[in-house]
Amino acid sequence: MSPASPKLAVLLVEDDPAHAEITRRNIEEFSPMLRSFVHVQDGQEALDHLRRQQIRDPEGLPDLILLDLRLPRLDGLEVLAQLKADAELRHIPVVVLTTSSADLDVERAYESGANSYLVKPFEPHEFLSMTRALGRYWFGLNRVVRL
Amino acid sequence: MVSTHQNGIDADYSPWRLMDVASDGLVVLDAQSRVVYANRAFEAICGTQPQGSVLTDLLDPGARDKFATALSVLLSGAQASCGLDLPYAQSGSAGRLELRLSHEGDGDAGYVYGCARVKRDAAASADQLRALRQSEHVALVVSELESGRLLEVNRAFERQLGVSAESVIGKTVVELGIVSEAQHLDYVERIQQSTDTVLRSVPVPTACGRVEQMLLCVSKIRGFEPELVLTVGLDITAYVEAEARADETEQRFRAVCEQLQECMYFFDATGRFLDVNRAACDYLGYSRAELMQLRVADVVALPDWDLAQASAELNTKRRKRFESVHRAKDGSLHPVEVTMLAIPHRGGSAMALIARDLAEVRQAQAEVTDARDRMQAILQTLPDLLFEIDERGVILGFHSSRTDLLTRPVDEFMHRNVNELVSPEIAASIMRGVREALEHGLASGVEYTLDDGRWFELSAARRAVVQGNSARVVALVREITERKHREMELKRSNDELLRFTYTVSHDLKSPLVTIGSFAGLLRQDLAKRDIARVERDLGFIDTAANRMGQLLDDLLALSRVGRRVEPHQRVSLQELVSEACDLVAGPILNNGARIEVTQTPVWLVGDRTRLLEVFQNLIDNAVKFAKPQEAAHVTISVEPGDLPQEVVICVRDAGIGIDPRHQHKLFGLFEKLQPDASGTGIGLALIKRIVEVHGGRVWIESAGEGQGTCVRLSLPNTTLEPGT
Repeated sequence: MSPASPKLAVLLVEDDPAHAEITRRNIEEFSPMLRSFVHVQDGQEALDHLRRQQIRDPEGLPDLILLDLRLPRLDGLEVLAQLKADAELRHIPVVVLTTSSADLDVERAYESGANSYLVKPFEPHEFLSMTRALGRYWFGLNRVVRL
Repeated sequence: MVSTHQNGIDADYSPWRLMDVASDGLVVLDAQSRVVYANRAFEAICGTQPQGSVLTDLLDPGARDKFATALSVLLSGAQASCGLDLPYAQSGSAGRLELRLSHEGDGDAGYVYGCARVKRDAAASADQLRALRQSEHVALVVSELESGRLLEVNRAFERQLGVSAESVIGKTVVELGIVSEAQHLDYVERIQQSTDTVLRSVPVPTACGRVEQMLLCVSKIRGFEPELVLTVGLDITAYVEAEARADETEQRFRAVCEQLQECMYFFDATGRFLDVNRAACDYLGYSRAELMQLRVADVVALPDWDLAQASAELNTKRRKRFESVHRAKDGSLHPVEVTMLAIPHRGGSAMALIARDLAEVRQAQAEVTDARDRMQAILQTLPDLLFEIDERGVILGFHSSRTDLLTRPVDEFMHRNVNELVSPEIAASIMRGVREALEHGLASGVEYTLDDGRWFELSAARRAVVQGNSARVVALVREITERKHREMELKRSNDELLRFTYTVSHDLKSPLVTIGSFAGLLRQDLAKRDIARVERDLGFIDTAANRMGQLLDDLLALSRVGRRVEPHQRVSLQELVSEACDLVAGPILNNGARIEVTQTPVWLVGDRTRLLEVFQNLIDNAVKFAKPQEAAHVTISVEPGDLPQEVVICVRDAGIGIDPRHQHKLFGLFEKLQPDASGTGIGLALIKRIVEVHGGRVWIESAGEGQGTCVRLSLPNTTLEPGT
């Protein structure tokens, strides 16, 4: 990440507390580039959180969403579909974070609008290269669009 | 007749016959002028049979006086003979009658002998010919015999040859190109040699280039110098062409008859053969010439067969079919099937007899009967419905013993269109099959379902088009309800297996990821000697390992359902609920839950242990998802289902309820709507599996979050009476 890159606000959607802890600790390695880290336990909660934020403080919306697929109530793919159908939220890049490396899951994730796909457990450097890639192709574009 | 022997003339000499062949008219009269005898030539002059008549009456009125005077002179004996030249008009021709008379005998007692010759009046003939000129249809030409110069032609001649009379009169037939010179000379010679009219069918070139076939009747006109001939021409082109066509038809007909395997005999009313075909000769062992010498009675070997009677029957009926026996040349007898017909023949009628060897006919009939019998047997054993349907969709035939599969009696759907009999969707499916079969010969796999839930599959094959019939197919309709249900069950089961595999791989991997990741973090934390974190890491590892164990136990439990089925037994609902409450006693006690079960005796049938698991999980869930700080209140009741005799059991709670949006996920394996809830989320999946293995169904209703939940389940054979 270049020094000029803005700090990231990250939203983690994960029902397994252990996995949430692993993810948190892995990205804490890069705490200088984190602005905030929010963890919610299921899909419905994630959507509720985002919509509340949208009204209360649109600037406070996350820059990146890390989304597990297997979630109680609304599962990850449904959350993804709703996010990408929402004009105000669809610009937020979503990284699917799951234990499944099945081709079908990867395909369905991308079909539903995922911007990247990481298989758990991921190593800190994988997260770094993924955010760099997204930074080049997504955040830059996003900034232009927002101007 | 006089039989004398004189002047070298022998026995049967007859002077009368001699007189009949004379070309002059000879007559014998008595004194009263009554005709005693007249030869043929004289009859022709009179135009009538004059025997017994008074000749005076037969003469032209202008000739009578002259004749009477001459006769009286002769009878008086003053003259022995005389010659008379009398006016003559008879049979459409006019002229003079030369009559020479002589008298023999004594006065009135004698006879007068007359010899008469008619001399045609050229002027009168010309007048008549001029009248004939008007004829439009028969060409008439008067010409000089030797030179061939035309003297007179009529209108029909002008029309047929496309010429005017003025342009041809005075020219010869050779100059006019009607015949060549050689032909003309040949005609002249033949006409001169002949006393009779010459008939010729000759091609005559017309002005428009068409050659017409003319029938020419040429006759000499006597008494003219130079000699004249009258040619009567009739256009017979159409007749000649028709004759040629008839010839062709006959040849074709003959060729067909000769090729037929059936024996054909044509014979007249007396039974004489007019014609026979090759098959008949071969069958009976005769040559054609031999057979043509025989009569039909020589061939038919039925003792009581009568040709007259058989032909009389044909008068009322054009065709008659019967069995007969035919005798071959070697005397052997052969049973045959005969068709006898009356056919027109030379203005009357003749008969045709068509015979087939009966052994062959019987063989063919036996084959047809055998095929029909075989088909019937196949149809009887076929578990399918067989229809004949035409291109419009009209049912033309039905063959099947499985009338129990029909929705209405056979006579209610025969000759009706499928559109009138089934829903438009089903009719469209059927017609799709019919059209495909008509187009490609075969169609299969057309499936449709009736309102009563039964499934059918239609296959169709195009039938050969028989003359006069519309295009049609034979459609085989098979009930496939059971297969369809199995297919659907298989698909459901496959889908479930897919979901199961996915879920298992995902959910079992999850604790492993946790253990692996925290092992790594543990190593880091140990290196940093961060004891608090080490404790935490170990806690996560512990939990994950326990969860893994629990998941495996649950999976094992689920896989056992349906694999080992205990004998089904009749169990009381109240008993099951009571035992289930004992198994969930801990949570019930902790929650202070109240469980109420209907007092109506309800009897379930199934694997007792599994049914107990169902109620254990249902009650456990109801208690687990009670509203926070509230004691659960669970009521278990029964109500009638949608199907007849169906009893539905409702397990209702007043708990936290379920958002309708998430209800579809409830029965999924390891699905949890509450992330914090205890357990792996296998409960409802297990319930569903057990109920389905028992052939029942389970579903959940909740008005939404905070509205409580009702789980309904329906198991076959659930009754409100103990039964047997």
